[in-house]
Amino acid sequence: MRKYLAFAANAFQRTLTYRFELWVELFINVLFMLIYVYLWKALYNGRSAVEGYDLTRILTYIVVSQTLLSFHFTLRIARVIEEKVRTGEVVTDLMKPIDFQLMLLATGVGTTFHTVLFNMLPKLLLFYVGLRLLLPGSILTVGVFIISVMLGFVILFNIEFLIGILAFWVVEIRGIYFAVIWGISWFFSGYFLPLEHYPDLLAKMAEYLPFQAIIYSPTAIYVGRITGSAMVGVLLIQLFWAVVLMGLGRFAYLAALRKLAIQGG
Amino acid sequence: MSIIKVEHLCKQFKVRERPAGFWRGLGGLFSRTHHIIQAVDDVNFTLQRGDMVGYIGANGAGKSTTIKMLTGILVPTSGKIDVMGLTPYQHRRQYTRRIGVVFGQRTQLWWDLPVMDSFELLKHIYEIPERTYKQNLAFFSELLQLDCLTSMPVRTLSLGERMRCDLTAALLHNPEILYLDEPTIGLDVVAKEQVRQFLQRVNAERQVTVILTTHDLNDVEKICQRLLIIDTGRIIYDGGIDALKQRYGRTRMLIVDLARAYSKIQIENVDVIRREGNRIWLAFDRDTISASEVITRVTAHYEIQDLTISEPEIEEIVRKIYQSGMTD
Repeated sequence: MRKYLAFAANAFQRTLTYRFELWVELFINVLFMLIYVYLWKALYNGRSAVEGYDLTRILTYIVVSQTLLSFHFTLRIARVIEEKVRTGEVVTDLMKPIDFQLMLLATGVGTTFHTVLFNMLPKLLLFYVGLRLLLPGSILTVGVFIISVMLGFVILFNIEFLIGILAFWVVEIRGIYFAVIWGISWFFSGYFLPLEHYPDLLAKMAEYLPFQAIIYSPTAIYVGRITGSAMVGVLLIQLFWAVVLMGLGRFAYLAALRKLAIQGG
Repeated sequence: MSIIKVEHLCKQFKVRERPAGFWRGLGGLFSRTHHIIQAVDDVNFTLQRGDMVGYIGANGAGKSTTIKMLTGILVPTSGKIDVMGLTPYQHRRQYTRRIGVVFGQRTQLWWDLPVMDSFELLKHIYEIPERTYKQNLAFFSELLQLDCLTSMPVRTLSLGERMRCDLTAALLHNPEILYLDEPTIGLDVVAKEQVRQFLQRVNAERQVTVILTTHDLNDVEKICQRLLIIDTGRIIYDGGIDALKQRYGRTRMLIVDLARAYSKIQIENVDVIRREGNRIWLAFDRDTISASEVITRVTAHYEIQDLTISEPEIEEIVRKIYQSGMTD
Protein backbone atom coordinates (compact mmCIF):
# COMPACT_ATOMS: atom_id res chain seq x y z
CA MET A 1 0.00 0.00 0.00
CA ARG A 2 2.81 2.34 0.98
CA LYS A 3 4.45 1.98 -2.43
CA TYR A 4 1.27 2.89 -4.29
CA LEU A 5 0.87 6.00 -2.14
CA ALA A 6 4.41 6.86 -3.12
CA PHE A 7 3.41 6.45 -6.78
CA ALA A 8 0.44 8.76 -6.33
CA ALA A 9 2.58 11.39 -4.59
CA ASN A 10 5.13 11.06 -7.33
CA ALA A 11 2.58 11.56 -10.11
CA PHE A 12 1.19 14.56 -8.26
CA GLN A 13 4.64 16.07 -8.15
CA ARG A 14 5.33 15.37 -11.81
CA THR A 15 2.17 17.21 -12.77
CA LEU A 16 3.46 20.24 -10.88
CA THR A 17 6.23 20.48 -13.47
CA TYR A 18 3.79 21.65 -16.11
CA ARG A 19 2.25 24.68 -14.44
CA PHE A 20 1.69 26.81 -17.50
CA GLU A 21 -0.32 24.08 -19.22
CA LEU A 22 -2.59 24.02 -16.17
CA TRP A 23 -3.42 27.69 -16.31
CA VAL A 24 -4.19 27.49 -20.01
CA GLU A 25 -6.44 24.49 -19.44
CA LEU A 26 -8.30 26.20 -16.61
CA PHE A 27 -8.81 29.31 -18.74
CA ILE A 28 -10.20 27.34 -21.71
CA ASN A 29 -12.46 25.26 -19.42
CA VAL A 30 -13.93 28.38 -17.89
CA LEU A 31 -14.61 29.88 -21.33
CA PHE A 32 -16.49 26.78 -22.46
CA MET A 33 -18.47 26.61 -19.25
CA LEU A 34 -19.51 30.24 -19.79
CA ILE A 35 -20.82 29.35 -23.25
CA TYR A 36 -22.93 26.52 -21.80
CA VAL A 37 -24.23 28.77 -19.03
CA TYR A 38 -25.39 31.44 -21.53
CA LEU A 39 -26.84 28.77 -23.79
CA TRP A 40 -29.00 27.40 -21.01
CA LYS A 41 -29.99 30.87 -19.83
CA ALA A 42 -31.21 31.62 -23.36
CA LEU A 43 -33.09 28.30 -23.62
CA TYR A 44 -34.83 28.81 -20.30
CA ASN A 45 -35.89 32.36 -21.13
CA GLY A 46 -39.49 32.56 -19.95
CA ARG A 47 -39.74 28.90 -18.85
CA SER A 48 -39.92 27.74 -15.27
CA ALA A 49 -38.83 24.11 -15.48
CA VAL A 50 -38.13 21.32 -17.97
CA GLU A 51 -38.12 17.64 -16.89
CA GLY A 52 -37.79 18.67 -13.26
CA TYR A 53 -34.96 21.10 -13.81
CA ASP A 54 -35.49 24.79 -13.17
CA LEU A 55 -32.85 27.26 -14.33
CA THR A 56 -30.74 27.21 -11.15
CA ARG A 57 -30.80 23.43 -11.07
CA ILE A 58 -29.85 23.01 -14.73
CA LEU A 59 -27.03 25.53 -14.32
CA THR A 60 -25.82 23.65 -11.26
CA TYR A 61 -26.01 20.42 -13.24
CA ILE A 62 -24.00 21.86 -16.11
CA VAL A 63 -21.32 23.36 -13.88
CA VAL A 64 -20.87 20.17 -11.83
CA SER A 65 -20.89 17.85 -14.85
CA GLN A 66 -18.51 20.09 -16.77
CA THR A 67 -16.22 20.06 -13.76
CA LEU A 68 -16.32 16.26 -13.55
CA LEU A 69 -15.60 16.05 -17.27
CA SER A 70 -12.07 17.19 -16.42
CA PHE A 71 -11.31 13.58 -15.41
CA HIS A 72 -11.51 12.71 -19.10
CA PHE A 73 -8.82 15.27 -19.88
CA THR A 74 -6.35 14.54 -17.10
CA LEU A 75 -6.45 10.79 -16.70
CA ARG A 76 -5.07 9.73 -20.10
CA ILE A 77 -4.16 6.29 -18.81
CA ALA A 78 -4.83 4.68 -22.20
CA ARG A 79 -2.28 7.00 -23.74
CA VAL A 80 0.18 6.31 -20.95
CA ILE A 81 -0.05 2.56 -21.58
CA GLU A 82 0.23 3.01 -25.34
CA GLU A 83 3.38 5.06 -24.83
CA LYS A 84 4.84 2.48 -22.46
CA VAL A 85 4.21 -0.31 -24.96
CA ARG A 86 5.46 1.66 -27.94
CA THR A 87 8.72 2.71 -26.27
CA GLY A 88 9.19 -0.63 -24.54
CA GLU A 89 9.17 1.09 -21.16
CA VAL A 90 6.61 -1.51 -20.09
CA VAL A 91 9.53 -3.92 -19.75
CA THR A 92 11.11 -1.84 -16.98
CA ASP A 93 7.75 -1.78 -15.18
CA LEU A 94 7.51 -5.56 -15.40
CA MET A 95 10.91 -5.91 -13.78
CA LYS A 96 9.76 -4.24 -10.60
CA PRO A 97 7.92 -5.89 -7.73
CA ILE A 98 4.72 -3.93 -8.34
CA ASP A 99 1.28 -4.54 -9.76
CA PHE A 100 0.94 -2.79 -13.12
CA GLN A 101 -2.77 -2.05 -12.82
CA LEU A 102 -2.57 -0.69 -9.28
CA MET A 103 0.54 1.29 -10.13
CA LEU A 104 -1.33 3.03 -12.95
CA LEU A 105 -4.37 3.58 -10.75
CA ALA A 106 -2.11 5.22 -8.16
CA THR A 107 -0.50 7.33 -10.89
CA GLY A 108 -3.97 8.34 -12.11
CA VAL A 109 -5.06 9.27 -8.60
CA GLY A 110 -1.96 11.43 -8.16
CA THR A 111 -2.43 13.28 -11.44
CA THR A 112 -6.15 13.72 -10.88
CA PHE A 113 -5.76 14.91 -7.31
CA HIS A 114 -3.72 17.70 -8.74
CA THR A 115 -6.52 18.53 -11.18
CA VAL A 116 -9.08 18.45 -8.40
CA LEU A 117 -7.06 20.91 -6.38
CA PHE A 118 -5.95 23.34 -9.05
CA ASN A 119 -8.66 23.04 -11.69
CA MET A 120 -11.91 21.49 -10.55
CA LEU A 121 -12.36 23.10 -7.14
CA PRO A 122 -11.47 26.61 -8.36
CA LYS A 123 -13.92 26.24 -11.28
CA LEU A 124 -16.70 25.02 -9.03
CA LEU A 125 -16.11 27.82 -6.55
CA LEU A 126 -15.93 30.49 -9.23
CA PHE A 127 -19.23 29.50 -10.83
CA TYR A 128 -20.89 28.85 -7.52
CA VAL A 129 -20.19 32.39 -6.35
CA GLY A 130 -20.90 33.92 -9.76
CA LEU A 131 -24.23 32.17 -10.40
CA ARG A 132 -25.47 31.43 -6.88
CA LEU A 133 -25.88 27.74 -7.66
CA LEU A 134 -27.61 25.06 -5.60
CA LEU A 135 -25.81 23.43 -2.71
CA PRO A 136 -26.28 19.72 -1.99
CA GLY A 137 -29.28 19.13 0.26
CA SER A 138 -27.40 17.89 3.30
CA ILE A 139 -24.02 16.88 4.65
CA LEU A 140 -25.00 13.29 3.90
CA THR A 141 -25.58 14.21 0.24
CA VAL A 142 -22.13 15.78 0.12
CA GLY A 143 -20.64 12.55 1.48
CA VAL A 144 -22.53 10.38 -0.99
CA PHE A 145 -21.61 12.76 -3.82
CA ILE A 146 -17.89 12.44 -3.00
CA ILE A 147 -18.08 8.64 -2.86
CA SER A 148 -19.99 8.63 -6.14
CA VAL A 149 -17.37 10.86 -7.77
CA MET A 150 -14.61 8.51 -6.66
CA LEU A 151 -16.42 5.45 -7.97
CA GLY A 152 -17.02 7.26 -11.26
CA PHE A 153 -13.33 7.99 -11.42
CA VAL A 154 -12.42 4.33 -10.88
CA ILE A 155 -14.87 3.33 -13.65
CA LEU A 156 -13.33 5.78 -16.10
CA PHE A 157 -9.86 4.58 -15.11
CA ASN A 158 -10.77 0.98 -15.86
CA ILE A 159 -12.31 1.82 -19.23
CA GLU A 160 -9.15 3.70 -20.14
CA PHE A 161 -7.03 0.84 -18.84
CA LEU A 162 -8.86 -1.64 -21.05
CA ILE A 163 -8.37 0.56 -24.11
CA GLY A 164 -4.71 1.04 -23.24
CA ILE A 165 -4.09 -2.71 -22.94
CA LEU A 166 -5.21 -3.07 -26.56
CA ALA A 167 -1.87 -1.47 -27.46
CA PHE A 168 -0.27 -4.86 -26.82
CA TRP A 169 -2.09 -6.16 -29.92
CA VAL A 170 -2.58 -3.19 -32.20
CA VAL A 171 -0.05 -0.52 -33.01
CA GLU A 172 -2.48 2.37 -33.02
CA ILE A 173 -5.14 2.81 -30.34
CA ARG A 174 -5.83 6.49 -30.87
CA GLY A 175 -8.87 5.78 -33.05
CA ILE A 176 -10.45 3.50 -30.49
CA TYR A 177 -9.55 5.93 -27.74
CA PHE A 178 -11.30 8.84 -29.44
CA ALA A 179 -14.29 6.73 -30.35
CA VAL A 180 -14.83 5.37 -26.85
CA ILE A 181 -13.67 8.18 -24.58
CA TRP A 182 -14.47 11.28 -26.58
CA GLY A 183 -17.42 9.77 -28.41
CA ILE A 184 -19.41 7.10 -26.64
CA SER A 185 -18.36 7.99 -23.11
CA TRP A 186 -19.10 11.70 -23.52
CA PHE A 187 -22.40 10.99 -25.20
CA PHE A 188 -23.70 8.52 -22.64
CA SER A 189 -22.15 10.15 -19.58
CA GLY A 190 -24.66 13.01 -19.64
CA TYR A 191 -22.06 15.73 -19.38
CA PHE A 192 -23.77 18.11 -21.80
CA LEU A 193 -27.35 17.39 -20.99
CA PRO A 194 -29.07 15.57 -18.11
CA LEU A 195 -30.04 12.07 -19.22
CA GLU A 196 -33.69 12.92 -18.47
CA HIS A 197 -33.61 15.12 -21.56
CA TYR A 198 -32.50 12.24 -23.81
CA PRO A 199 -35.03 10.43 -26.02
CA ASP A 200 -36.40 7.37 -24.22
CA LEU A 201 -34.44 4.82 -26.19
CA LEU A 202 -31.10 6.57 -25.68
CA ALA A 203 -31.85 7.22 -22.02
CA LYS A 204 -32.59 3.52 -21.60
CA MET A 205 -29.33 2.59 -23.35
CA ALA A 206 -27.39 4.98 -21.14
CA GLU A 207 -28.88 3.34 -18.09
CA TYR A 208 -27.37 -0.03 -19.01
CA LEU A 209 -23.94 1.33 -19.85
CA PRO A 210 -21.16 2.16 -17.39
CA PHE A 211 -20.58 5.64 -18.79
CA GLN A 212 -23.49 7.34 -17.02
CA ALA A 213 -21.91 6.25 -13.74
CA ILE A 214 -18.93 8.50 -14.45
CA ILE A 215 -20.67 11.89 -14.65
CA TYR A 216 -24.46 11.63 -14.54
CA SER A 217 -24.72 9.66 -11.28
CA PRO A 218 -22.66 11.97 -9.06
CA THR A 219 -24.10 15.11 -10.67
CA ALA A 220 -27.68 13.94 -10.26
CA ILE A 221 -26.93 13.25 -6.59
CA TYR A 222 -25.43 16.72 -6.20
CA VAL A 223 -28.43 18.55 -7.69
CA GLY A 224 -30.91 16.43 -5.75
CA ARG A 225 -32.39 14.46 -8.67
CA ILE A 226 -31.42 11.25 -6.92
CA THR A 227 -32.20 11.26 -3.19
CA GLY A 228 -32.74 9.02 -0.19
CA SER A 229 -32.46 5.28 -0.65
CA ALA A 230 -32.17 5.73 -4.43
CA MET A 231 -28.66 7.05 -3.74
CA VAL A 232 -27.65 3.68 -2.27
CA GLY A 233 -28.92 1.95 -5.40
CA VAL A 234 -26.85 4.27 -7.61
CA LEU A 235 -23.74 3.69 -5.50
CA LEU A 236 -24.25 -0.07 -5.78
CA ILE A 237 -24.54 0.14 -9.57
CA GLN A 238 -21.36 2.22 -9.67
CA LEU A 239 -19.59 -0.29 -7.42
CA PHE A 240 -20.77 -3.11 -9.69
CA TRP A 241 -19.24 -1.42 -12.76
CA ALA A 242 -16.04 -0.54 -10.94
CA VAL A 243 -15.50 -4.13 -9.84
CA VAL A 244 -16.51 -5.74 -13.15
CA LEU A 245 -14.34 -3.40 -15.23
CA MET A 246 -11.40 -3.80 -12.86
CA GLY A 247 -11.71 -7.58 -13.24
CA LEU A 248 -11.92 -7.31 -17.01
CA GLY A 249 -8.86 -5.06 -17.00
CA ARG A 250 -6.90 -7.58 -14.98
CA PHE A 251 -7.94 -10.38 -17.30
CA ALA A 252 -6.92 -8.39 -20.38
CA TYR A 253 -3.63 -7.44 -18.77
CA LEU A 254 -2.75 -11.06 -17.96
CA ALA A 255 -3.57 -12.03 -21.54
CA ALA A 256 -1.31 -9.20 -22.74
CA LEU A 257 1.50 -10.47 -20.52
CA ARG A 258 1.18 -13.96 -21.93
CA LYS A 259 1.25 -12.57 -25.43
CA LEU A 260 4.35 -10.52 -24.61
CA ALA A 261 6.07 -13.47 -22.95
CA ILE A 262 5.48 -15.78 -25.87
CA GLN A 263 5.79 -13.51 -28.86
CA GLY A 264 8.16 -10.96 -27.43
CA GLY A 265 5.84 -8.05 -28.14
CA MET B 1 27.65 -22.62 -5.46
CA SER B 2 25.76 -22.20 -8.68
CA ILE B 3 23.37 -19.26 -8.86
CA ILE B 4 22.13 -19.53 -12.43
CA LYS B 5 21.53 -22.78 -14.22
CA VAL B 6 20.37 -22.77 -17.82
CA GLU B 7 19.61 -26.09 -19.49
CA HIS B 8 18.66 -26.71 -23.12
CA LEU B 9 17.13 -23.26 -23.35
CA CYS B 10 15.24 -22.58 -26.57
CA LYS B 11 13.12 -19.70 -27.74
CA GLN B 12 11.19 -19.60 -30.98
CA PHE B 13 9.28 -16.66 -32.37
CA LYS B 14 6.48 -16.94 -34.83
CA VAL B 15 6.89 -14.19 -37.37
CA ARG B 16 4.05 -13.18 -39.62
CA GLU B 17 5.06 -12.63 -43.17
CA ARG B 18 3.73 -9.50 -44.74
CA PRO B 19 3.87 -9.85 -48.47
CA ALA B 20 5.22 -6.83 -50.28
CA GLY B 21 3.15 -4.98 -52.81
CA PHE B 22 -0.39 -3.66 -52.67
CA TRP B 23 -2.43 -6.59 -53.98
CA ARG B 24 -0.50 -9.24 -52.20
CA GLY B 25 -0.53 -7.07 -49.06
CA LEU B 26 -4.30 -6.97 -49.37
CA GLY B 27 -4.32 -10.74 -49.69
CA GLY B 28 -2.30 -10.86 -46.49
CA LEU B 29 -5.31 -9.49 -44.65
CA PHE B 30 -7.14 -12.73 -45.29
CA SER B 31 -4.54 -15.42 -45.22
CA ARG B 32 -1.53 -15.32 -42.99
CA THR B 33 1.67 -17.16 -43.42
CA HIS B 34 4.06 -17.61 -40.56
CA HIS B 35 7.59 -18.73 -40.26
CA ILE B 36 9.47 -19.72 -37.16
CA ILE B 37 12.63 -18.01 -36.01
CA GLN B 38 14.84 -19.93 -33.65
CA ALA B 39 16.21 -17.03 -31.59
CA VAL B 40 17.84 -19.16 -28.91
CA ASP B 41 18.81 -22.72 -29.68
CA ASP B 42 19.81 -25.20 -26.98
CA VAL B 43 21.77 -22.85 -24.73
CA ASN B 44 23.41 -24.33 -21.63
CA PHE B 45 25.51 -22.67 -18.97
CA THR B 46 25.96 -22.46 -15.23
CA LEU B 47 27.13 -19.41 -13.31
CA GLN B 48 28.58 -19.35 -9.83
CA ARG B 49 27.77 -16.71 -7.26
CA GLY B 50 30.12 -13.76 -7.74
CA ASP B 51 30.87 -14.52 -11.39
CA MET B 52 31.32 -11.69 -13.81
CA VAL B 53 30.44 -12.84 -17.29
CA GLY B 54 30.36 -11.19 -20.68
CA TYR B 55 27.67 -12.30 -23.06
CA ILE B 56 28.44 -11.26 -26.57
CA GLY B 57 27.16 -11.79 -30.03
CA ALA B 58 26.31 -9.90 -33.19
CA ASN B 59 23.00 -8.10 -33.61
CA GLY B 60 20.21 -10.64 -33.67
CA ALA B 61 22.40 -13.43 -32.32
CA GLY B 62 20.08 -14.07 -29.37
CA LYS B 63 21.73 -12.05 -26.59
CA SER B 64 18.78 -9.92 -25.62
CA THR B 65 16.34 -12.80 -25.96
CA THR B 66 18.43 -14.78 -23.47
CA ILE B 67 18.58 -11.83 -21.07
CA LYS B 68 14.83 -11.33 -21.36
CA MET B 69 14.25 -14.97 -20.47
CA LEU B 70 16.68 -14.73 -17.55
CA THR B 71 14.91 -11.64 -16.24
CA GLY B 72 11.51 -13.29 -16.52
CA ILE B 73 9.95 -11.22 -19.29
CA LEU B 74 9.98 -13.92 -21.93
CA VAL B 75 8.92 -17.47 -21.31
CA PRO B 76 11.18 -20.11 -22.89
CA THR B 77 9.72 -22.29 -25.64
CA SER B 78 11.54 -25.20 -24.05
CA GLY B 79 14.37 -25.83 -21.64
CA LYS B 80 14.93 -24.82 -18.07
CA ILE B 81 16.13 -21.76 -16.21
CA ASP B 82 16.81 -22.01 -12.52
CA VAL B 83 18.00 -18.84 -10.80
CA MET B 84 18.46 -19.00 -7.03
CA GLY B 85 15.93 -21.82 -6.98
CA LEU B 86 13.32 -19.73 -8.80
CA THR B 87 11.92 -19.95 -12.31
CA PRO B 88 12.06 -16.33 -13.47
CA TYR B 89 8.88 -16.24 -15.54
CA GLN B 90 6.76 -18.07 -12.99
CA HIS B 91 7.96 -16.29 -9.87
CA ARG B 92 8.42 -12.90 -11.48
CA ARG B 93 7.32 -10.61 -8.65
CA GLN B 94 9.33 -12.48 -6.03
CA TYR B 95 12.28 -12.79 -8.39
CA THR B 96 12.43 -9.10 -9.32
CA ARG B 97 13.21 -8.19 -5.70
CA ARG B 98 16.47 -10.11 -5.92
CA ILE B 99 17.81 -8.91 -9.25
CA GLY B 100 18.84 -5.59 -10.71
CA VAL B 101 18.52 -4.76 -14.39
CA VAL B 102 20.04 -1.98 -16.47
CA PHE B 103 19.26 -1.39 -20.12
CA GLY B 104 21.77 0.91 -21.75
CA GLN B 105 19.19 2.16 -24.21
CA ARG B 106 16.52 2.92 -21.68
CA THR B 107 16.21 4.42 -18.24
CA GLN B 108 14.20 3.20 -15.31
CA LEU B 109 14.27 6.64 -13.75
CA TRP B 110 11.32 9.01 -14.05
CA TRP B 111 12.07 11.48 -16.78
CA ASP B 112 10.51 14.60 -15.26
CA LEU B 113 11.65 14.12 -11.70
CA PRO B 114 14.88 14.92 -9.92
CA VAL B 115 17.02 11.80 -9.65
CA MET B 116 16.62 11.70 -5.89
CA ASP B 117 12.83 11.41 -6.20
CA SER B 118 13.25 8.37 -8.43
CA PHE B 119 15.53 6.80 -5.82
CA GLU B 120 12.96 7.53 -3.10
CA LEU B 121 10.23 5.93 -5.16
CA LEU B 122 12.39 2.85 -5.72
CA LYS B 123 12.91 2.67 -1.98
CA HIS B 124 9.15 2.25 -1.60
CA ILE B 125 8.73 -0.11 -4.55
CA TYR B 126 11.38 -2.50 -3.27
CA GLU B 127 10.49 -1.83 0.36
CA ILE B 128 14.12 -1.13 1.19
CA PRO B 129 14.74 -0.56 4.91
CA GLU B 130 15.70 3.05 5.62
CA ARG B 131 19.14 2.14 6.95
CA THR B 132 20.08 -0.04 4.00
CA TYR B 133 18.82 2.65 1.65
CA LYS B 134 20.91 5.37 3.30
CA GLN B 135 24.02 3.21 3.41
CA ASN B 136 23.71 2.18 -0.21
CA LEU B 137 23.03 5.69 -1.37
CA ALA B 138 26.09 6.95 0.46
CA PHE B 139 28.23 4.15 -0.97
CA PHE B 140 27.13 4.69 -4.58
CA SER B 141 27.18 8.48 -4.35
CA GLU B 142 30.78 8.38 -3.37
CA LEU B 143 31.78 5.78 -5.91
CA LEU B 144 29.95 7.37 -8.83
CA GLN B 145 30.15 11.02 -7.74
CA LEU B 146 26.43 11.52 -7.76
CA ASP B 147 26.34 14.46 -5.34
CA CYS B 148 25.66 17.21 -7.80
CA LEU B 149 23.38 15.07 -9.99
CA THR B 150 20.69 13.93 -7.60
CA SER B 151 18.82 17.23 -7.50
CA MET B 152 18.60 17.47 -11.29
CA PRO B 153 15.71 16.18 -13.39
CA VAL B 154 16.68 13.06 -15.33
CA ARG B 155 15.91 14.67 -18.69
CA THR B 156 18.70 17.22 -18.15
CA LEU B 157 21.42 14.63 -17.54
CA SER B 158 24.03 13.57 -20.07
CA LEU B 159 24.08 9.93 -21.13
CA GLY B 160 27.05 9.15 -18.89
CA GLU B 161 25.47 10.86 -15.90
CA ARG B 162 22.20 9.08 -16.52
CA MET B 163 23.97 5.72 -16.68
CA ARG B 164 25.63 6.37 -13.31
CA CYS B 165 22.22 7.10 -11.82
CA ASP B 166 20.66 4.07 -13.50
CA LEU B 167 23.36 1.80 -12.10
CA THR B 168 22.64 3.13 -8.63
CA ALA B 169 18.90 2.67 -9.16
CA ALA B 170 19.44 -0.97 -10.11
CA LEU B 171 21.55 -1.70 -7.04
CA LEU B 172 19.76 0.16 -4.22
CA HIS B 173 17.85 -2.92 -3.11
CA ASN B 174 20.97 -5.09 -2.82
CA PRO B 175 20.24 -7.44 -5.72
CA GLU B 176 22.19 -10.69 -5.84
CA ILE B 177 22.40 -10.63 -9.62
CA LEU B 178 22.86 -7.65 -11.91
CA TYR B 179 21.84 -7.95 -15.56
CA LEU B 180 23.25 -5.30 -17.86
CA ASP B 181 22.15 -5.03 -21.47
CA GLU B 182 24.74 -2.91 -23.27
CA PRO B 183 25.56 -0.67 -20.32
CA THR B 184 28.28 1.27 -22.12
CA ILE B 185 26.45 1.95 -25.37
CA GLY B 186 26.89 5.52 -26.54
CA LEU B 187 29.25 6.48 -23.72
CA ASP B 188 32.57 8.25 -24.23
CA VAL B 189 35.84 6.59 -23.28
CA VAL B 190 36.04 8.18 -19.84
CA ALA B 191 32.47 7.32 -18.94
CA LYS B 192 32.93 3.75 -20.19
CA GLU B 193 35.98 3.33 -18.02
CA GLN B 194 34.10 4.69 -15.02
CA VAL B 195 31.26 2.20 -15.53
CA ARG B 196 33.71 -0.69 -15.87
CA GLN B 197 35.61 0.20 -12.72
CA PHE B 198 32.36 0.61 -10.85
CA LEU B 199 31.11 -2.81 -11.94
CA GLN B 200 34.38 -4.38 -10.93
CA ARG B 201 34.12 -2.92 -7.44
CA VAL B 202 30.49 -3.87 -7.00
CA ASN B 203 31.31 -7.39 -8.10
CA ALA B 204 34.34 -7.69 -5.84
CA GLU B 205 33.06 -5.94 -2.73
CA ARG B 206 29.42 -6.95 -2.74
CA GLN B 207 29.65 -10.37 -4.38
CA VAL B 208 27.04 -9.34 -6.94
CA THR B 209 26.91 -11.76 -9.86
CA VAL B 210 27.14 -9.73 -13.05
CA ILE B 211 26.07 -10.66 -16.57
CA LEU B 212 26.59 -8.06 -19.23
CA THR B 213 25.91 -8.03 -22.92
CA THR B 214 27.93 -5.69 -25.03
CA HIS B 215 29.23 -4.83 -28.45
CA ASP B 216 32.31 -3.23 -27.01
CA LEU B 217 34.76 -6.04 -26.47
CA ASN B 218 36.93 -3.81 -24.34
CA ASP B 219 34.26 -4.10 -21.67
CA VAL B 220 34.62 -7.84 -21.65
CA GLU B 221 38.37 -7.89 -21.98
CA LYS B 222 38.86 -5.55 -19.03
CA ILE B 223 36.37 -6.82 -16.50
CA CYS B 224 35.04 -10.28 -17.24
CA GLN B 225 36.69 -13.52 -16.24
CA ARG B 226 34.48 -15.49 -18.51
CA LEU B 227 33.03 -15.01 -21.92
CA LEU B 228 30.02 -16.53 -23.60
CA ILE B 229 29.72 -16.01 -27.33
CA ILE B 230 26.40 -16.61 -28.96
CA ASP B 231 25.79 -16.80 -32.67
CA THR B 232 22.53 -17.58 -34.44
CA GLY B 233 21.06 -18.70 -31.14
CA ARG B 234 23.82 -21.10 -30.17
CA ILE B 235 26.66 -20.71 -27.69
CA ILE B 236 29.79 -21.04 -29.78
CA TYR B 237 32.31 -20.22 -27.09
CA ASP B 238 32.26 -20.53 -23.33
CA GLY B 239 35.48 -19.96 -21.45
CA GLY B 240 38.17 -17.55 -20.35
CA ILE B 241 39.45 -14.70 -22.46
CA ASP B 242 43.08 -15.79 -22.36
CA ALA B 243 42.11 -19.26 -23.53
CA LEU B 244 40.23 -17.71 -26.40
CA LYS B 245 43.29 -15.70 -27.40
CA GLN B 246 45.46 -18.79 -27.13
CA ARG B 247 43.17 -20.77 -29.30
CA TYR B 248 42.23 -18.27 -31.94
CA GLY B 249 44.81 -15.58 -31.57
CA ARG B 250 47.57 -17.22 -33.60
CA THR B 251 47.41 -14.59 -36.27
CA ARG B 252 49.71 -11.62 -35.81
CA MET B 253 49.74 -8.44 -37.76
CA LEU B 254 52.75 -6.53 -39.03
CA ILE B 255 52.12 -2.98 -40.15
CA VAL B 256 54.84 -1.68 -42.44
CA ASP B 257 55.47 1.83 -43.79
CA LEU B 258 57.36 1.43 -47.03
CA ALA B 259 59.91 4.01 -48.07
CA ARG B 260 58.57 4.12 -51.63
CA ALA B 261 55.73 2.72 -53.66
CA TYR B 262 55.95 -0.89 -54.88
CA SER B 263 53.60 -2.14 -57.54
CA LYS B 264 53.53 -5.67 -56.21
CA ILE B 265 54.27 -7.09 -52.80
CA GLN B 266 54.67 -10.79 -52.30
CA ILE B 267 56.13 -12.62 -49.33
CA GLU B 268 55.89 -16.34 -48.70
CA ASN B 269 53.48 -17.40 -45.86
CA VAL B 270 52.35 -13.81 -45.35
CA ASP B 271 49.08 -12.28 -46.52
CA VAL B 272 48.79 -8.68 -47.54
CA ILE B 273 45.38 -7.88 -46.19
CA ARG B 274 45.26 -4.14 -46.65
CA ARG B 275 47.09 -1.35 -48.48
CA GLU B 276 46.83 2.37 -47.92
CA GLY B 277 49.35 4.42 -49.83
CA ASN B 278 52.73 3.22 -48.70
CA ARG B 279 51.38 1.53 -45.60
CA ILE B 280 50.66 -2.19 -45.78
CA TRP B 281 49.11 -4.64 -43.33
CA LEU B 282 50.62 -8.11 -43.30
CA ALA B 283 48.98 -11.04 -41.51
CA PHE B 284 50.79 -14.23 -40.60
CA ASP B 285 50.30 -17.29 -38.45
CA ARG B 286 52.79 -17.32 -35.60
CA ASP B 287 52.93 -21.12 -35.66
CA THR B 288 53.99 -21.18 -39.31
CA ILE B 289 56.37 -18.29 -39.34
CA SER B 290 57.97 -16.23 -36.60
CA ALA B 291 57.72 -12.46 -36.42
CA SER B 292 61.47 -11.98 -36.82
CA GLU B 293 61.46 -14.18 -39.91
CA VAL B 294 58.69 -12.05 -41.45
CA ILE B 295 60.63 -8.88 -40.72
CA THR B 296 63.78 -10.35 -42.22
CA ARG B 297 61.96 -11.29 -45.41
CA VAL B 298 60.28 -7.92 -45.73
CA THR B 299 63.46 -5.93 -45.20
CA ALA B 300 65.34 -8.19 -47.63
CA HIS B 301 63.06 -7.31 -50.53
CA TYR B 302 61.67 -3.89 -49.74
CA GLU B 303 62.92 -0.61 -48.45
CA ILE B 304 61.05 0.25 -45.28
CA GLN B 305 60.63 3.30 -43.09
CA ASP B 306 58.88 1.96 -40.03
CA LEU B 307 57.08 -1.11 -38.71
CA THR B 308 54.89 -2.22 -35.80
CA ILE B 309 53.59 -5.59 -34.68
CA SER B 310 50.11 -5.69 -33.25
CA GLU B 311 48.70 -8.17 -30.76
CA PRO B 312 45.55 -9.95 -31.79
CA GLU B 313 42.58 -7.86 -30.81
CA ILE B 314 39.81 -9.80 -29.22
CA GLU B 315 37.46 -8.10 -31.63
CA GLU B 316 39.38 -9.57 -34.51
CA ILE B 317 39.19 -13.01 -32.96
CA VAL B 318 35.50 -12.80 -32.35
CA ARG B 319 34.87 -11.57 -35.86
CA LYS B 320 36.71 -14.58 -37.16
CA ILE B 321 34.67 -16.93 -35.02
CA TYR B 322 31.46 -15.33 -36.25
CA GLN B 323 32.54 -15.71 -39.83
CA SER B 324 33.78 -19.22 -39.72
CA GLY B 325 31.89 -20.80 -36.85
CA MET B 326 33.71 -22.86 -34.25
CA THR B 327 36.10 -24.76 -36.42
CA ASP B 328 39.57 -25.51 -35.19
